Amino acid sequence: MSPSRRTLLASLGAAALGSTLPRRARAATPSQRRFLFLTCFGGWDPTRVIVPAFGDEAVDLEPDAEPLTVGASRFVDHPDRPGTRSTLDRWGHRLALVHGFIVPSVAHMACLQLLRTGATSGRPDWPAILGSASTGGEPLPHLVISGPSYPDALSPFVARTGSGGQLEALIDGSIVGRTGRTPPVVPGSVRDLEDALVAARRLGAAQRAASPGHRALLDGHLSAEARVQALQAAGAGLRWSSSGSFQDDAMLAVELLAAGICRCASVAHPGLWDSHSDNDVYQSLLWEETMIALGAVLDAMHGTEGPAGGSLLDETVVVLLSEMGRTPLLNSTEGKDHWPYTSALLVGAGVAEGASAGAYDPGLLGARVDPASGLPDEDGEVLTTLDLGATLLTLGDVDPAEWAPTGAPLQSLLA
Amino acid sequence: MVTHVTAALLLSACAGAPPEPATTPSDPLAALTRLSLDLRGVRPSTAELEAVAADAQALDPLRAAFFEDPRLAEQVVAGFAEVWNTVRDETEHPASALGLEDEPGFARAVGEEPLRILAEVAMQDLPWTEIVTADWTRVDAQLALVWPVELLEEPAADGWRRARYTDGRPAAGALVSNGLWWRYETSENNASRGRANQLSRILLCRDFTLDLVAFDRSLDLSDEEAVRAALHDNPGCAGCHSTLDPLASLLGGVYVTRKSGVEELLRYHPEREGIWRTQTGVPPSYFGLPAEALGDLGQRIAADPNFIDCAVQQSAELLLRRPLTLEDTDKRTAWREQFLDSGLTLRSLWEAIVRSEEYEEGAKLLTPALLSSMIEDLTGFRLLVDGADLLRTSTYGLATLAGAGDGEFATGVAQDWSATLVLVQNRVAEAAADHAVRVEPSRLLAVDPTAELDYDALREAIAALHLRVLSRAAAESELEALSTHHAEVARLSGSEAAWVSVLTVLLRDPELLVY
Repeated sequence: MSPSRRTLLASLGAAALGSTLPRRARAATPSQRRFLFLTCFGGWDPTRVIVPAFGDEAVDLEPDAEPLTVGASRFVDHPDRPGTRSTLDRWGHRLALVHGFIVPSVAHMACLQLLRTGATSGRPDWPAILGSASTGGEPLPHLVISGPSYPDALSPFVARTGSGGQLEALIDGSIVGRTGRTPPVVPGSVRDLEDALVAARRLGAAQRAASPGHRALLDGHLSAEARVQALQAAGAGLRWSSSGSFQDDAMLAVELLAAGICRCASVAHPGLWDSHSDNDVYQSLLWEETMIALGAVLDAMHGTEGPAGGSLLDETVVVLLSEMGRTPLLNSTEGKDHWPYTSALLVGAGVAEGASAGAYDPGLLGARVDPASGLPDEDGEVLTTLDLGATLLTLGDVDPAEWAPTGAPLQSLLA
Repeated sequence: MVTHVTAALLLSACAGAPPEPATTPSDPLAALTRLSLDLRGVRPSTAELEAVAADAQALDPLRAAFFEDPRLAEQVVAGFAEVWNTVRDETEHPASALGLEDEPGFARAVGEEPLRILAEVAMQDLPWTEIVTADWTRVDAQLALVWPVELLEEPAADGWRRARYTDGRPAAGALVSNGLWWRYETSENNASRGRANQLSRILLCRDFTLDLVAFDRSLDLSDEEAVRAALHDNPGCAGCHSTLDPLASLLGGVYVTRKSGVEELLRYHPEREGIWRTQTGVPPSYFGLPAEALGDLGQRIAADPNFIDCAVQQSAELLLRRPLTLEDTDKRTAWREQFLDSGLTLRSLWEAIVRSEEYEEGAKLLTPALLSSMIEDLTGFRLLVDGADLLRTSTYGLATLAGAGDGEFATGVAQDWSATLVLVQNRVAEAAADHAVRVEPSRLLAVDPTAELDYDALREAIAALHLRVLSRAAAESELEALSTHHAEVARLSGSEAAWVSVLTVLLRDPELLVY
């Protein structure tokens, strides 16, 4: 199937719910699984949708919030968020939740790095690791559509599309035209000669290299050049830029995942979730937008064929997260402040439908749990970002021992 | 008044290391190229290459000359921009809100203001402590129009000049620059703690947020008063807050929030110096030493040995392009001593570093900013859109795709190739080669690109081009291959296209970016 065909299918994703694609017929192996990371930066209030803290007097909920049960999972429903309700009605039974894990900081950037790497510095993030471990030959193993990325030493495996279509303009050469100059037209035959000569010169340079580091850099160029060749072959006809909305960024990621361009894609919600004042207003709007987008993404992935031949949703782990939670009670300006315990949402390939791990004690304190079962256990531990990371790495067939050594894969989430 | 002399005295117990003699480089041309790129942002000229090729000792006077080159200022700005992270593509309040039209230029100028102070201190051989004690700032034409300053001199060739704020702010160099605080916002809830941490990170190399927080589950984190008390009483909190909060309390004079109007953001607010009473509730001080406001903070930082160590660490890591380790301890000490002996001049510190064996080791990858300045110097070409250099901007440009650090999320400069960097290099190579041959042919080529040349003349011209672009003489086999390539393309598309293609190949060469 050509990339453009996949793109078309992706664009028709919502309508394709009833299509005849072989959904879930051919599940991807863990090493084939793809990942879509959706990040809500600023710190979300999970009690608006995914943490039904009803009955906990130490938590301020919205006045009209109601419990909602879908399958085995419990959520929060609210009349101001019909789109959220719709997404949960369609997909709630498949969503898996991690509750009460701690992000041990109160600073946004530190928390974001902890969430995505398990440390405050010096480590690559989960999508970079998963991308670097790919065996699928994707030209851009981790593609960042928007938002944060911590590649550390894995930067060769990470690329950005740019917020203004920069990658597309690089691929098709139109970037030079943006300067007002006519882009040089290089005949294919001349370019072939140039490619061959550059390759020969790189080989010569590697043989002359004065140090192992120098040689390694030249080898790095060879690998990157190979990715460029693959990208230019696979990227023609694909959409590479979006309107910048969360949903469109996420849909772009779906298309590029489906086309086999990347193993991991990262998208960040463009809004700032840091609701120190007027928490209920901002969080409600942001959650509604996010959950509508999530629903559209899952619809599209369900109706799109993935590179391994199954439904893209059955080949892809979708992760929705935020770097921190918010305090249980409203402050004097009706806001909620930073909170180190939070939740994350997973769905898709290898993720047990309707599963959960972790829990909250009263007052939204992360509960001690048995990591194997995910159930409260006074002898257990509060979950950490490393446990979340170890779970994601395990889902992607990467041994967590190297990158999340103290984390334990949350077995209850694994199908 | 505390000065750099005080700082020197504080460190005198460790003094005495003599300046290190320059090492004899194993590859003098490579050493020259590295120096030229790091200190001037351009490759060495043909004459410089030929001088060093003839006599490696010629490297010494050239190194000295590079330190006198005004382009060093741009390298100081670009280097410390990676640390300060103040340069962004947009500002919270756009230029239009101030009656200005050049949005990207204004955003860049705002972010560069503190960095231009650093560059001026470096280029004038002022003690590095001036960056936090100076009673002047630097402004370009746009900032001169809107910042509340008096201009102290005519603009220099780079368009920047000294100015002095007239709104009563204390003498504290970059600490009181609008550009610093436009980048690092705060809020009533945060009470300038984030800003205090940025100062600590940037000037003392101590980032509080790297520490994991051990939350005490017995503490009622939902009780604002209990949390406020815990910041002082609870060991898990007080470990950081006992030093961070008094620092934050020093920043009242620059306190504005995201919701403040642009007029508020322009001015210093002496009336807010005591705002700590209702925010942190902790009297201002500097790690236990008395201090009352920003002016005191500058003096305290200037006298802090950690400030000196931090400058050494940052400079070394920028020039070596790797983190310092315990194995570097002796060398780090020697560099610090040279820094102190020089009266804390940055040029002396950088010279000590680039004369070391460590500087010669390994290989580095050009940053996008260096790629831009190098290509412009070689070919006259810049990837400009509406005055913005696409290799130096991320929002609409290519900087991040080419490996630049992300100023928003504080990720570092990439140290290895990515597919997008190769794409950037290839596209820039094609366009720059086309420009150099067709628009400014005499800039790089020793011959008329449209002229038919005999074989020997062609090889000679290619050899000269190779030396200038890649800073080394071409091997015989390379000359043969490039000459053959020229002939083949000339047969297909003509002589001018052949020169474009030869230059494209050289500009696409990975060695161009590895130095």
